[in-house]
Amino acid sequence: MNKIIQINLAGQAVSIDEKAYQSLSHYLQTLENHFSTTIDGREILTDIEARIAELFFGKIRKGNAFINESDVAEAIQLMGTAEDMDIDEDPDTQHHQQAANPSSKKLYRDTDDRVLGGVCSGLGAYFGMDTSVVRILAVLLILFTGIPLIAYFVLWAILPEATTPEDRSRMKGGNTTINDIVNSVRQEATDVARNVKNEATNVADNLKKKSNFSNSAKSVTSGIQQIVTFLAKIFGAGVLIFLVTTGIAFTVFLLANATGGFHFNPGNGDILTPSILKSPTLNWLFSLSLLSLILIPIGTICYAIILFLFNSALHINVKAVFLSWLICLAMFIGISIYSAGNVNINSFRQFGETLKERSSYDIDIKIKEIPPIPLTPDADTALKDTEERSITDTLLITTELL
Amino acid sequence: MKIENTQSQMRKGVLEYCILTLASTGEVYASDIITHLKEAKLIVVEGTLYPLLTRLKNAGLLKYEWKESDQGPPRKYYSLTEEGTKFNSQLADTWTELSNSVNQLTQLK
Repeated sequence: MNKIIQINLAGQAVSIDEKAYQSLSHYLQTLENHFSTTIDGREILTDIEARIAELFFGKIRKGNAFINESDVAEAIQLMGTAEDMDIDEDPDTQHHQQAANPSSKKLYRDTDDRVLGGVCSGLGAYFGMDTSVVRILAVLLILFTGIPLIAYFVLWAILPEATTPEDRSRMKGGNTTINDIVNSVRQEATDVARNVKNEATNVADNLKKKSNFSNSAKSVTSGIQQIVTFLAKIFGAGVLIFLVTTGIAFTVFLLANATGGFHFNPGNGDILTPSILKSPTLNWLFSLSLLSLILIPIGTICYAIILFLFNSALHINVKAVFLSWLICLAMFIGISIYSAGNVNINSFRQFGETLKERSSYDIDIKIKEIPPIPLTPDADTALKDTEERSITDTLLITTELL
Repeated sequence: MKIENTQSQMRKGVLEYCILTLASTGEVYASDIITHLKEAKLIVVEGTLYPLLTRLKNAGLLKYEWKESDQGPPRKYYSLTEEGTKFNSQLADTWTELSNSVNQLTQLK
């Protein structure tokens, strides 16, 4: 038994069986991936969808109640594969398209020329630099700042592998200028905005249909399904915001620790919190590995949510994520064991004392500013009393603070 | 060297000329163009046509209008632009020359 669903194909409602829908959407997705690199991709795709819709209407007019798998297979055979449509592929036009469309150049991992994940060689190909130069730069930057290490793992996880010859040519592309990058970012933003809008319109349409009660039960089912998906997306966005905030908080804390602590101002003086470890290098490595350890899973979940939010067909390289995480874990454990006796206890103690001094001084002043209220008729004893009380109060408050 | 590549290279230029010629007869619908091209065995699958149509349109040689259809959604009807008409007549000359030349050459052996 198969479910019948209603879909919107080129602006037309089509009843289609679920399996047929799956193969159709797979086919359209392949085409979309294929044509997304060309300027006219969207338009070509719309035309093809319109044509398929027309073929389906022909079937329905002949008496089919809905579109089944064989109808879809027939339509796909008639339209041909993405490769069949590439009649205009020659070096000239390809070059022209790449020059006109910056997003046709893509970042890949070049796994044919790799040490770890092929990220450096991919970047080298993208920016037209020699791979060894990129590698040396990356190693130097990792040694001195550490930041590219996280970036490396992130890129490893999200960049696709360049597998087909098409990928390889796209990996190299033409020359990339800042302008191209700005353009492609703008393009990306427009796409995202459109996707969000489409999603909202779809849900609104289905809600409208549902309230009209004129439609059959099957469209209501798909309407409810869409509402559930939409709610799931809102929930996902909430989780995303929470995770991003947590991630930022951790990053700020650990980076502050790595660079020597927070500056904060309890009252008058400026105090620097001490770093966890004595040696700055160890401290840096410790914070960095702990940060990666926390950020890798958070980042992966965030990325997965984003993919879900925008119905993206991209995949996460779970293997690479896990491997990166294991490397970080090993690094973290190693550093923890190595620096076990190296904890900055003294400076923390010192910090605590400074804090105590500062805050007691501060609170003391404030309390003294309040005019003492004589409790007993004897003014002298009252004054002494207040003074004593302010000292004990201060001590109490300080211990509470700590 | 693959025979398919050479064949598709040969077909490519001719295909553009044929599409323009078909469009020169007035307003034509994409599936009409497809029917003719299929009959002439110039294309195998319909998908081939759509990238070409879009490209010719973007190059300013073709234009289209949406027209209501009694059997479903509105359709795009293509016709030649002024530039397209000029382009097409130039291609027609080139084709005549080319087919003459090729005929002459192949008759030599």
